[in-house]
Amino acid sequence: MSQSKLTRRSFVRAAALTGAASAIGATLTGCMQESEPRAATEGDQALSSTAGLTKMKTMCHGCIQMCPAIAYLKDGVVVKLEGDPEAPMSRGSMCIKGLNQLHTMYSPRRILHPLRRAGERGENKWEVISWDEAITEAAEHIVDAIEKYGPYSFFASVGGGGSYSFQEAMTMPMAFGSPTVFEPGCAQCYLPRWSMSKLFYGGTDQSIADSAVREVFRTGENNKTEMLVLWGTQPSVSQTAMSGRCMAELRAAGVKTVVVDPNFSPDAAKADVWLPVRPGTDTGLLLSWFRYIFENKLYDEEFTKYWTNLPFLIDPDTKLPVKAAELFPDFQQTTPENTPAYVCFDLRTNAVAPFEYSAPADSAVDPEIFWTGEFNGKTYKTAGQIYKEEADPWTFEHAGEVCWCKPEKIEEAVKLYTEASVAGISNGVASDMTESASEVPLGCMGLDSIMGYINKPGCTMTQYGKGNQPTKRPVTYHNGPNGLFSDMYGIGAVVGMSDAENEARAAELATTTQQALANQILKDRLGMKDHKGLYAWCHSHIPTVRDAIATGEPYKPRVWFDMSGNKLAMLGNAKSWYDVFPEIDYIIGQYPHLTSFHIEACDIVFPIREWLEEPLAKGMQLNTMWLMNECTHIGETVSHCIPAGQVVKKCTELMGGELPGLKPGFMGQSTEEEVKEAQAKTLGAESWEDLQANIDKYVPMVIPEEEYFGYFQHETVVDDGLPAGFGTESRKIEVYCQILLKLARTGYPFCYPEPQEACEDYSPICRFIEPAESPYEGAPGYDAEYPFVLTSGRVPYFHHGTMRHAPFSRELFPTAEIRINPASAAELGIEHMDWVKVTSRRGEVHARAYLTEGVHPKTVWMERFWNPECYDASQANPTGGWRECNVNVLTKNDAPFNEVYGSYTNRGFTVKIEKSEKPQGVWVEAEEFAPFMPTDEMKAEPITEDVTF
Amino acid sequence: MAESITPSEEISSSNLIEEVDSIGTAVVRHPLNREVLYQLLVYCQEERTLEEAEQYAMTLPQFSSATQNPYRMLCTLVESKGLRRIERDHLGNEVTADMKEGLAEDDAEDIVASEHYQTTEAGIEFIEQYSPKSRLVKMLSLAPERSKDYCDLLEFVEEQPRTYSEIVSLLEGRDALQIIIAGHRETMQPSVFVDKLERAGALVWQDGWRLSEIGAEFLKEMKEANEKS
Repeated sequence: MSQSKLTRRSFVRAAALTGAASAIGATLTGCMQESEPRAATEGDQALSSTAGLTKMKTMCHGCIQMCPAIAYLKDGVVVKLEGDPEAPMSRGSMCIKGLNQLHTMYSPRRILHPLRRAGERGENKWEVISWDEAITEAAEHIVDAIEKYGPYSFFASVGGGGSYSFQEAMTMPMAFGSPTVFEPGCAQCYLPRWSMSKLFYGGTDQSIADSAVREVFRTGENNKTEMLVLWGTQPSVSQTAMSGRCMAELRAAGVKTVVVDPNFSPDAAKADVWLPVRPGTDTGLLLSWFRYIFENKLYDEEFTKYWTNLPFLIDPDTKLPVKAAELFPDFQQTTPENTPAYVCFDLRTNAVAPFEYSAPADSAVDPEIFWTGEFNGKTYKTAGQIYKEEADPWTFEHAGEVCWCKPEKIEEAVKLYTEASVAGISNGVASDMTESASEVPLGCMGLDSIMGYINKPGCTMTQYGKGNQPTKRPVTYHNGPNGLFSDMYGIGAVVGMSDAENEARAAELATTTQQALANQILKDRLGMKDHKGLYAWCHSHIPTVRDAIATGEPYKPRVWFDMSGNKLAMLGNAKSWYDVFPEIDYIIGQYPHLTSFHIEACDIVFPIREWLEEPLAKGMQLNTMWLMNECTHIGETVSHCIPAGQVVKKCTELMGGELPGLKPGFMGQSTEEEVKEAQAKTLGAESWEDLQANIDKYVPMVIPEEEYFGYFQHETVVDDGLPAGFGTESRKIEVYCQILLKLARTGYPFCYPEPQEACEDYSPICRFIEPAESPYEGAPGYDAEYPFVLTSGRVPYFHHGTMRHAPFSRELFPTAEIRINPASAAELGIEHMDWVKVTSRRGEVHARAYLTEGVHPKTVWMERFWNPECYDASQANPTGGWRECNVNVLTKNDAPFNEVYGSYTNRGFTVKIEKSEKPQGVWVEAEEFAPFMPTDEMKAEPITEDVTF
Repeated sequence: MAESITPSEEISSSNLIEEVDSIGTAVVRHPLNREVLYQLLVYCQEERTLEEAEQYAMTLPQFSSATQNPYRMLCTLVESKGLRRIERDHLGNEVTADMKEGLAEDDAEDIVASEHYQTTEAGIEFIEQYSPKSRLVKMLSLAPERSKDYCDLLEFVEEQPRTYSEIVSLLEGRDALQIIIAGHRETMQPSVFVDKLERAGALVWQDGWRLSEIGAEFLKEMKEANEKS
C-alpha cells in the first residue's frame, strides 16, 4: 500500500482508535464535539497526504449505514479514503470496514471476469468465460428447468453483507412465476422488527442500525434525546462510524443509557445500567418492565387510554376486540366505516359502553385500561387487563432469576426509562435470531407506547418524510416494501380501509392485474401456512426451502441464482445446506470475490463491482440523500443488478419473448447506462453526465427540514374531521396486536383476496418463551451434555460475511474467538487464548478462548458469522475454514421457530466447551494473511469502460 | 437427498466398501451430471478408448445439460476409483508406471499411443447398487400409494413425448398430489412425480419427457403386477 502511505501498522493504529473512540466515549468527548474548522496554514499543502490526488465524493458500503466518504485517486487507483465531514449523521467518520475497501478493491482474490467451474464442486478450479457465454449458459439452465419441471424449479437468494440486490432477488422469481426467494437475514435480521412496526402502528421501527431511528442523530438543539435503551443492539460495534459516534456524543451530552445485552459491549461498558440478560429470555425482562410500570401507574395514562387499543374489550372466544355494534345493536356509529367503534368500560358511567374514535378531549367515555367484568352473561377483559395478567408473575425477583439479571439493576433501569420526560427503546437484531422474534418487538414497542414515547422529539418511534403532514386517515400498504406489489398485482388488503373498500379495490384490481396468479404464488410459497409474517418481504421460510430441496416435496427448487454473500457463513446450520447442494441442479453466484460458498457450490460466478466502482443513489443521512459513485472501474465487473437483468432478458428471448410469471416481474436495470440514468434521476439530475459534471449541486439531495421532520402527526385533524391517528384497523396503536390474529387465521392483510390456510393463532402480546434448548434441568430441551448458552454478535472489523479477505482486519481479529467467563474457564482448565472445541447438537467448531467477566458464567459469546475464508493456493485446507470455525455450523435451523416469521435460533442454544488443539490450516499469524494483500498487478489493472451487452 | 448407497452383504473388503461410497459421492455430487456418470460406468464395463467413451457420453440425452465435458467426467470417475485409466502403447500393451520410470516427460508421453477406461470392481458393485431398477424399487417402497399415478404417468409418456404442461394436465387435481407436511395439507406440484421418475432413470428429457428403456421395462412389470392384483 505504498501509494496510500497506509502501512499495516498505521492502519492498525487508526482502526484501533476508531473502536476505542466509540467505546470510551466520554473520555474522548473533546474529540467528539463540534468545533470550528481550523484555518489552513501555509505548509498544510506540503504536509497533506492528498496533495496532487483526484478527489471524488462517494459513499461507503462497508455496512448498511452507508457513510458518505471521499476517495482520493492517483492515476485512477484509489489510494486514500476518508469520511465526508458534510454528512449530517456520520459527520466525517469512517470505520475500519470502510477503510478496508482499499484492500477489497485491489485484493488478489477479486474476480474480474465471469467464471465457469472447471472442476468439481468444492474444487477451486475455474475457467474465464465471456459475458455472453456466461449469460447464455445461466439462462439456458433456467429455461431448461422451467421447461422440464415448471416455474417453481427456479429460486433466488440474496444477503450476507455487501449486497444491494434485495429488490432484484425478490422480483426475479416473480418474473418466472416462482414463489421461492430467501435471504439469511430477513426473518433472522430486521424483518420481524420492521414488519411488526407496520402491523403494530403503521410506523417506523426501533432499529438504529437500519437507520429507522433518526432522532438520536439530530445535532445541537434539535437533538432532544434524554434517555435511550439499547435492547439487543451494540451501535459502537456494528456501525462504529455513524451509530457508534452518535452514541459517544449522546453519552457525552449526558443522555442516560440502559443496555440489555448478554455481552459486555462497548456500549454496555459506558451504560448507566447494563442488564446481561440470558440469551433468548428478553421477553421475561420486558414483562417485568410492564409489570412495574402497570403496578406503579408510571404509564402515560391519557395516551394509553386514547391512542392505544388497551382499553378495548376483548371477546374471549375470538380473542379480537369487540366492535360496538356487536354488543349494542342499536348503536349508530358517527365515524367513517374505516374507523370502527369498539367497546370499553366507561369510568364516567361505570358501565360497558361504545368507544368511538375521537380526539381525547372529544371522547364520550373515560375508558378503563384494566378491567374484567360481565356483559350480557359473558366475561370480558380489556386488552390492558390481558397484558397485565401476562406480566403479573414477572416480579423483578422472578425476572432476575429467569433472565440472569440482578433485580435491583432491573429496577434501576426501569426507573431511568420511566423518569425521563422522553425516552425510547432501540431494539436490535438479537431477538430476530430467536424464537421470540415477534414477541420482543411487540414488547419494546408496547413499552414505548404506554409511556407515550411516540412521535415526540427525542424518542425512537417517530416518523419521517412522506406522511408527516397527513390530510387523510392513514392507511398501511403491505406486500413488499411500501406495499410495492399490492397495487402492482392486486394482492393484499390495505389496513385502514374498511372491508367494503378493500373488497371493491380487490375486485377492480382483478380486472387490471395478474391477481389470481400473484395470489396463487402467495399461497404456494414454502413455509407460509405457518409463518405468514414472511409475506411482508415476499420471502420463503428458509428451513422449509431446504427441506423441499432435500425431499423434492411439495416441489423441488433446483436452479438457484444467489445474488450476494457467502451462504455457508450466513445460513443457520450451514452443514445441513452443504448436504443438499448435490440436490441442486445448477447454482449461479455473483460477488466481487470468491467465498467458500462459491467454491463449494456455484457452477458459474458473475463478477460484481466493489463499492468504489458502483453507482448507487441510496444512502439517507437524515434529510439528505447521497451517491455511491463510480470512482474507478477495473476488469469486466458490472453493477449488482446487471447479471440478473441480463439473464432475465436472455431467458425472455429463449422463451419466445414472454416469461411465464408476473408482469412487470423483474425490477432492476440490465445495463450500466440504465443504472447510471436511474441514479441521476433519483438525485434530480438530467443525466449521468450532468450529475458528474455538477456533483456538488446534486449531492447531497436535500429534503427541506419542514418536509422531512415532523412530530405528533397522529393529532393532526384530517379531512374527515378526526385526528389522523395511525395506519391500523382501529386507527390507534395496537399494543394488543389484533391484526396478528387475522394474519394467522387467513393471511390477512397479505394473502388477499384469496386467504391462506389457517395455523395456530399468533400471540397478540409479548409473552415469555423458554428457549428450546434450555440450560435448566427439568425444562424441555435440557441436555446436561451442553451446559453453556451460546449467543453471538458483531465485532467492529467485519459486516456480516464481508471483509474476511481484508488482511489488516484479519491481523486484528485473525480467527474465531469465544468469550468465556474466567470462573467457567478455570473449571474446564482453559486459559486465555487457548484453543477450544465448541460443540452443539448439530456440529462442532473451534475457536480461541477469550476470558472475560463480561459474560455470565453460563453464557458464551462468539462473533456472529465467523468464517475464516482462507482460500489461497498455499492453503492446504480445502474448506476455506467454513467447517472448522464457522459459528453457523452450530446454530439451530429446525423447529420451534418464531410463530409469525419462522425465525430460527441463531442465538440462545446450548453448547459444550472443551480444551482442544488448533485446527489444521486455520490462519492466525499476521504474516499468514500476506496472500490477501493488494497486489501491484491488481493496482495496475487498466481502468475499464462499462461492460456492454 | 441423494439416494444412500448401502454396501451389499457380498462386499467383504472394507476397501471396496469405501471405494463404492467414494464412487457414490462422486456420481451424485452434481445432479446434472449424475446419469451421464452412471452410464459411463456401465459403458466402460468393457474397456473403451477415450474417444469411444467421450463419444458415448455425448450421445446421452442427459449430456445436453451437463456441466462438465466428457473427459472431466472420466477423470472424476477415475479419481473416485470407479474407472481405471489404462495407457497402451502402439502394440496395445499396457504402459505401466515402471515402464515410464526414469524417462523424461516427453519420452514417457511418446510411448503412450492410446488412453482407455475400464470400470473397476468397485465400479461394477456400484452399478448394481445404483441400478435404475433398484432406484425404482426404492422409490415405490417410499410411497406405494403413488404407484398407480407413477404408472399412469409412464403410460402417458409412452404414448408420445410429453411437455411438462401436458403432464400437469394429466396429474392436476389427483389425490396423489395431496400430502401432509409439517401438519399442513400441501398440494404437490406434478413436477414431484417427474423428478422422482427421472432420478430413478425411468424418464428422460429429449425434446419432451420420454420413457427410457428401463422405464419401459418397469412400466411393463408394473402393469403385469397390477393385472395380477
